[in-house]
Amino acid sequence: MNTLPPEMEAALAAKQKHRRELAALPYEEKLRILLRLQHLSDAIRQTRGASARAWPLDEKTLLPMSSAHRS
Amino acid sequence: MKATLAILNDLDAHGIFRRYAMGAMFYVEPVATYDLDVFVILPLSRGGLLTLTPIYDALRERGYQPRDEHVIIEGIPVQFLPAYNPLLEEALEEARTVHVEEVSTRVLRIEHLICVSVATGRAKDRERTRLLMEDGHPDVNFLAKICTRHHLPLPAKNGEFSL
Repeated sequence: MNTLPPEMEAALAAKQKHRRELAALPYEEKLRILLRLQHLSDAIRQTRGASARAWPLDEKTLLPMSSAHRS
Repeated sequence: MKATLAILNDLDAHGIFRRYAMGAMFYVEPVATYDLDVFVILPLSRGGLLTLTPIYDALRERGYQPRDEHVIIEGIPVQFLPAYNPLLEEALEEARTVHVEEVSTRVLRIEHLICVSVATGRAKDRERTRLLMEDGHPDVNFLAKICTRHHLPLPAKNGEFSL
């Protein structure tokens, strides 16, 4: 059986604790985090010449930022 | 988001679909995604087929054009997923009502979400099952009954299962 060193066990436990704290957040806060994740992902995508895909929502209000809210 | 939900509620109120519900992000950490999956119960077409055409027509009338498999509704690409089996129909019938930014919407029960992920069975669904089981605190007894009713394996606490 593989056992992890205590430091690794502690790190994994801390990650799991953080994931559960994130899971318990209100849905609106999760949306704000999702928007930030999308923007982070776009920053990487755009270095490869790909287009941005983040939802054009205002992070504070969660409403569309511009007339680009309809397809 | 509330503007998008208001449109979905409007479609529901006008009978374009019967009941809709959303999923996993209510229960687990935010995971990067670019579309909003909305499960719906559709009326059958005359030929007895499931079709999204009435939804797309209703959204066009409201100024939202379909693009590939999405419709961008108030900034958010929405993908409509029809309930095509008894598990999904049951999940939608038993979806919970929640409020997001003071707008009423519906979310599938976590136990049904787990079963839908198990039934779909892709690598992504296995990861979703793991997240839901580990961090979502499902009612395991209720989950077991759904799995039995729909002939699905009961996932372990760590989300693992074998089809």
